[in-house]
Amino acid sequence: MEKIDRERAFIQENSENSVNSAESETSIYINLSDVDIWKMFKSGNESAFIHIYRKYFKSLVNYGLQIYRDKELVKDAIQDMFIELRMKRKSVLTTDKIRPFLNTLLRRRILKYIGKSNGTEHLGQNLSEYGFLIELSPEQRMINKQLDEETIRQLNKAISRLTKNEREIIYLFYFEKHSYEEIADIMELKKIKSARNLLYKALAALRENMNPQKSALFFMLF
Amino acid sequence: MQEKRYKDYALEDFLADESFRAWVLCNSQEMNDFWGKWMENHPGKKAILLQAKEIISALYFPVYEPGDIDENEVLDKIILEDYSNRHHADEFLVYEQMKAHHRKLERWTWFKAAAVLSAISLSIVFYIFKNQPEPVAQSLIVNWTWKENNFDQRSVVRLPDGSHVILNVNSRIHYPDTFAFENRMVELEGEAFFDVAEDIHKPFIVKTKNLYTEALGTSFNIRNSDKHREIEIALVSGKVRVSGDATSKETILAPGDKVNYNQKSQKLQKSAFNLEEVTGWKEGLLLFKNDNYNTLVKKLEHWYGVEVSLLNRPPESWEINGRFVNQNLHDVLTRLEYTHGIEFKIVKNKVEIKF
Repeated sequence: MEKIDRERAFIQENSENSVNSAESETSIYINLSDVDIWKMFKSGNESAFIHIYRKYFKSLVNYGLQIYRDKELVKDAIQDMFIELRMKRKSVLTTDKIRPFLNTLLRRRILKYIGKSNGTEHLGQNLSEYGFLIELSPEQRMINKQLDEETIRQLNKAISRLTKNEREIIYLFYFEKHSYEEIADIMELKKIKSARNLLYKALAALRENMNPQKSALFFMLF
Repeated sequence: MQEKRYKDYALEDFLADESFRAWVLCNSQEMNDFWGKWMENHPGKKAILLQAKEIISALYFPVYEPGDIDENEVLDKIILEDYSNRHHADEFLVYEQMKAHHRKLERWTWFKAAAVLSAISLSIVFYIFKNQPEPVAQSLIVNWTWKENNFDQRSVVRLPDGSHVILNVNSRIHYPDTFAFENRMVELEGEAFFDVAEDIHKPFIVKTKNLYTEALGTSFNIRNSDKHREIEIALVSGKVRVSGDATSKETILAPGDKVNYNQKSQKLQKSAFNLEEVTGWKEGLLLFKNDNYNTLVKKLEHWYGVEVSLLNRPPESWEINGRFVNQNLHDVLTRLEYTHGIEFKIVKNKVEIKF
């Protein structure tokens, strides 16, 4: 198993700080909405493109590697995805949310590439174990001491038993902070409601996976 | 926010609620007020709500770092791929006859170049300070880089402001590692295509010899030829002001305009440029369009870095048409052998042509 960089990345700190230092000097984008930045890109503005690329590159790499842990494939997918976006920039849809839009494109492309090389339509089961690892961290912001360490251990055990789809929706909902609508697009679910149901299923699976004897508190909670 | 729907919420409902999540993860004052008040009004729900908050807060996701996926390398590939594939229906670019000879820089000329280089740096700094009431800058050390292309490569140069430059073969660009002053000035020898990041507070200026091209968020092509003592600027989009050392010479270009500056006569001449003919070099397209033998020689010399000598002259009416994409010199001449009945001989860097 490839070594995963376990640098702590708590959701609160993540998300928007992947902009590199060179980019932060070019401040004109800070006050612009996604809609405007995307329009600039569509009209051929190269600096807008480079801004988009730099802003989302790291998070795309992370998302891509969560889906499929092959750096070459993920690199190609990101590269080809941007190349295609640029070639079709005029006809590409206007989007008001760049992040979920890029995540959607990347996910589809990776699945397509895997499908091609494996001859299967979707992710093989053997690949699904590793991506989207999630943990509850005991030392993280336990200000109110609502959860004791034993409870957290139990919850982590439960999380580790979730399916990859369930872990992915947790990732998309809490880490990428996508809405249900965006998640439905990204995960190619037919209805927004299906996204909500999947998250509930993941949360319910947590409950099922918990051991009620060891954690009376949690039995009460759920 | 609707307060009502929350009162029957179980733990999972809070966890799965978009605006509850937004409160926990984004923590705005407005939401703090709302949820603080809500807990006061629903003391029985307080514990569950806090647990939900804590679970969300405690979630963490191990992150894969890009590691050996190089952000800049991928960007280069994206941009280069794009430019080599694009059918720029909307673009004007200058096709050109430029520096006819490739001067190989030998060791001693490098020293010369270094001397010239520092002189240029000085003059640029001077130019900038001229416009600045109080020079602040003794402590500001700006390092300048030369990027140079030989005959076998084109490359993309990213500037510190996010602008990028596609540098043609046989061309050099001189740029700082940071645009610390009120202008963004770079210097060009040869030919390049500029896509300039917009920054209304810092004009982007390309210096070519004694000519300054100033742009605000735009794209244009500049070529200057030592041999023909001529500089040509062609505007693709946006707006560009071209001015010489003397303030009297100045012109503003609209998209589709080009201006030629003759260093001898010091005159700026504005005209329109032809789409077909100008799109070539970025994609490796060598294009001949009703060209006479002189133009043929110029283009071959520039494109392949060779010296062409003619053993005879063709009749006045002789002209050549043809397009070659990424083909080597031998292939091009072989085709001309068939189509135009020329004879040729290539010896190292020298080409002889007989009509």
